[in-house]
Amino acid sequence: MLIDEKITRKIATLAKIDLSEQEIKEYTKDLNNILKWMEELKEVDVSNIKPVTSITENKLYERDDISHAIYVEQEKVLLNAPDKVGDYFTVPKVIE
Amino acid sequence: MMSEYNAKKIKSANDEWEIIIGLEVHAQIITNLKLFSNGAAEFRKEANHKLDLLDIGLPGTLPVINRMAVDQAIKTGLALNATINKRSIFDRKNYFYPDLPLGYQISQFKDPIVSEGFINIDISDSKTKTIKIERLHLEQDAGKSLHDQSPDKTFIDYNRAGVALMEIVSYPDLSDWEEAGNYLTKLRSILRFVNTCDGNMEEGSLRCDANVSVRKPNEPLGTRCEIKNLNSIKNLMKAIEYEATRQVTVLEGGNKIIQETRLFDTNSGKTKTMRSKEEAHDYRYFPDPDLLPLELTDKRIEDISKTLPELPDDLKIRLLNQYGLSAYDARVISSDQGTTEYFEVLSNNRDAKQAANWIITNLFGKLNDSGKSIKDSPIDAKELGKLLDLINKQIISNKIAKEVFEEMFTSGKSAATIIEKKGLKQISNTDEIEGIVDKIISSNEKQKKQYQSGNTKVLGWFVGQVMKETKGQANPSVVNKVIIDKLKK
Amino acid sequence: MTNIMNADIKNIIKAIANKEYSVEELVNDFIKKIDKLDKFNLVSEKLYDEAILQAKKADAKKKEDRLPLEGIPIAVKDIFCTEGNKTSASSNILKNFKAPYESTVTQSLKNAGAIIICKTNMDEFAMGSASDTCNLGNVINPWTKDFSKPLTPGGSSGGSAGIMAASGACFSLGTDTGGSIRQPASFCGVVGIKPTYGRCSRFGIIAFASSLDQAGPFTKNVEDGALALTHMVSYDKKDSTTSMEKMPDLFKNLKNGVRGLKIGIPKQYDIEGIPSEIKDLWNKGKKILEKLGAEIIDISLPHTKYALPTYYIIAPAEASANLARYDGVKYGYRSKNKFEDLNEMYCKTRGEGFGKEVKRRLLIGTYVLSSGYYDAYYLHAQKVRRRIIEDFDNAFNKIDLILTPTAPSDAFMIGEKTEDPISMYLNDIFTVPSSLAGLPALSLPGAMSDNGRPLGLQLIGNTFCEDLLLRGAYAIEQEICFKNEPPLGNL
Ligand SMILES: [Mg+2]
Ligand SMILES: [Zn+2]
Repeated sequence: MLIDEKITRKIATLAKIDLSEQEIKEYTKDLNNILKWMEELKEVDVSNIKPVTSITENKLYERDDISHAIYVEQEKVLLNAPDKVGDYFTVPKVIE
Repeated sequence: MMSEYNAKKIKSANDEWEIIIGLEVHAQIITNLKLFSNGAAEFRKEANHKLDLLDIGLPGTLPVINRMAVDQAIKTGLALNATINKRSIFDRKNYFYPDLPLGYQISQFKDPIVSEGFINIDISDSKTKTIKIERLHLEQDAGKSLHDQSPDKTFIDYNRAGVALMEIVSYPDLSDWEEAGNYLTKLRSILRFVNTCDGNMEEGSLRCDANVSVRKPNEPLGTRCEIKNLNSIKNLMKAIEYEATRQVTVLEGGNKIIQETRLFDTNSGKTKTMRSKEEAHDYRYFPDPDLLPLELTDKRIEDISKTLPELPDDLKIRLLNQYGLSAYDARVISSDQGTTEYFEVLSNNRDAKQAANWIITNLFGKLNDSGKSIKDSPIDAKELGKLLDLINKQIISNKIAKEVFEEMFTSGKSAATIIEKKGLKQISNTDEIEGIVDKIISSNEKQKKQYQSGNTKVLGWFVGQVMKETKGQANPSVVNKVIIDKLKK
Repeated sequence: MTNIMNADIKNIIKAIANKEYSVEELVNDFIKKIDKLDKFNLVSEKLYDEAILQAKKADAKKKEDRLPLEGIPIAVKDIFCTEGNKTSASSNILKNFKAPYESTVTQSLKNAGAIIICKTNMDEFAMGSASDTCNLGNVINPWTKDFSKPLTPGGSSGGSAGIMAASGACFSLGTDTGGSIRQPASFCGVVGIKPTYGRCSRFGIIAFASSLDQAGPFTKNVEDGALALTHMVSYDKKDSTTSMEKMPDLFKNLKNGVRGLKIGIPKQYDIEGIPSEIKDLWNKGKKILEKLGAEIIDISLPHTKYALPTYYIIAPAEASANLARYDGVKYGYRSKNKFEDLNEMYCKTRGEGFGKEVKRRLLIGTYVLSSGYYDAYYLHAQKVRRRIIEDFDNAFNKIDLILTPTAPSDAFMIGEKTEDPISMYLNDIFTVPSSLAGLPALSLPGAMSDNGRPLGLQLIGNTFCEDLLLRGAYAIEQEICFKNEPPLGNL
């Protein structure tokens, strides 16, 4: 076993995904199978190999810092907000 | 004998503890637009206004880097004597927080744009210390969460989300809170010189985190705590002093320091644990596949280096050499571009030491009292220069000049006008002064005899009498000369 | 013209220009057709009103004002943001999300005169190979004969592939991350093209895996593909990963044949267990090319077998960050359940909003990036990816195109592989390597399986060589003359 249910729970916490007990069981099994399958990558000799960071070979385009940009039309900003008050998006109170 | 400089240590009954401090500074870069979006970088009152699609993390939106932000980072790196890396990578730093619209911050982790620089700080008038800088990287600012607007909701404003930041990380080279304060002051001064950050800590455009640990001399490094979000140099210093003392107390009590994030409470002057059950972070950094490596040409770096202004250290040396200022004066004058400009106008064709002295003792005093910066001083350098000229031509005395200066500062009137109106001109006319001296000597035979029998101290008393008689307007050197002449007779 | 909906796009354009047909009539015909296809669940949103409005405008235009794709109805995978329309990538977490902006690719097509007639269903967030993870239910392959045993159209662009199989649009749009255009094209008997990574802007396309996602068209034939693709590609300043490399003229040499071209046959694609009918198709492809004067060369792509596990590290890793923005704060679904605090709001929103496969991949992605595993999984995979790219680079020193089958099977039954993620992932065995290398590739229909389902041939080209890729495909297409149509009866 590469991972157990405890690890699945930990990953789910990191990914902020609520999982039922049943799901924890299933995903633990799936993840184990998938990770086992990935073990074969270890065979590949990657000494002196640079990891791929991007496959486009352009020079990175850099935007001009113009002083008057066109912004998103104001009515569109909060258009899809699940919860809002005035101009603000809102979430359940965060206790600092 | 010159006193040896020693960093402050925490002393306990049996031991002396060293303090080890490293600072992480977040500086908002002066730009119009955000680091990766067309949203406005400026501060604005209305929440969630002037945004770009990326600022609210809409699906399918992509980051596009702002050239100005890159140039500003290069410029700052050069001013920090650092290496500009010709290839740097943007990474995603993953964590969930409502003011982080993408669920990750675009930052630089393994390959920052700038690395290995340094800043010299003055630890005494004659001594500097080099503080090494590990890195400067570009990253996005977060938005703002407002917790005090409603009893059950936190309000989110993305205006600041995505604004370009430089995170400047020092090595743990700082040995006490004063050095830390010095370092931040100097860094801020450099940022302002190169105009890449306005350095305003109250408004949050410059923010500081401090990593603090203590150890006994020659022992390995202790566990460090990070104090977050220090919003003034004063608080930075207070927080470090408190934290170092706290750590010593904990250790001497036989306990261990827990590595944690702490906050400084300005009311109590104490640091405290930030979140008790804060889950362990795992930022899962990886290169942002939406961006390509940022490659810089030598020419670009060279072109930017040509735009660098004279920096505080060079300026200080020039002030020492060209104007013969004292180390202290040179440091104060060079700490701020406004002051330097003021000084250079004021000292033009005048005594530089006098000019520096007037700025530091008189002008700074008034500016401080009125909370003004030198840029909006009611007396500009030219006007103050005219006042100095009047002193130097002996039209007014130093003492009168100070009176005039006060009046100039409040009324904004010129020195000449004030002197004219109040009749404060110095009396340098020998005939007029001789008359007054004659009168005083003749009515004070006793003192005259004392002087003639060798008590030269009486001379000062005579000068005082003349000044009193002329309401301080008599030219002291003329008065001196006349009294000596008359008394000899 | 009675059967205009089956005509080539250039002939449709001609018919409209000659006033044999109005755009409005054309659009209405397609609307009728699409409505009849409801039982296949290909469509997520019908945009008929808007389409008819556009059609009327097109008809009112003077001849000289007509745009190159004026009035051509298209279907768009629901992963492209189209302004003012619901765009949800078949996920409940984006249910009812209205995009306030237009993707660059759809904007380019609109600018060329195309009319979006509907959005199509897909695997949730493009994660899947059977279009069976869609929030609106399984998408069904129009080649299905027995509705009690519905076939998958493949995935993730199943709706767009299916609608082309049923002639429900002049062309349709998909995205391909590890085979999501080519595999469904193979299953549905249509042409599906994935251009070189960086050809089409990803701006406005809901991201799955940023370093792999590419848009491409589904068409009835290669020439239509050339036309559609021509109007989709652009260097876009809104997407830093788009390429500045100029797109070659796809028509110039399209019909020049393959004489003298060198075609590579990678031995590692001859894997154990693939059905003989697929091997036969592959051989048929080789023979055709040989007959047409191409030189067949055996090549080796030694790291082929590592492509799938590499892909299933990199794509989920990128996805785990790309999908972090769906948190119930700015837009999209927020859990209606009670929550104590912010953390619970996040976890419930994401736990309820994402489907099973998406959650599975987010967990994998989070794991392979997490502290202690990053080097062993993610970093290592990006190094293996370099090896895979090098394999292709070496091969393309000697050859012009690579010929392989598109998928290891014909369309399977919905639900057949749902319970075993790895067997599902194996669907992409032939398409994933070229995706990892960012190469242009396409699938074209090559034969019918013994079960009477289409089988596709894949051609892979060198970076930026879409012209050669389409030229090879056109030559094969002319020889194969795939004329089979799905059993739609009197639809
Ligand atoms: Mg930091
Ligand atoms: Zn930072």
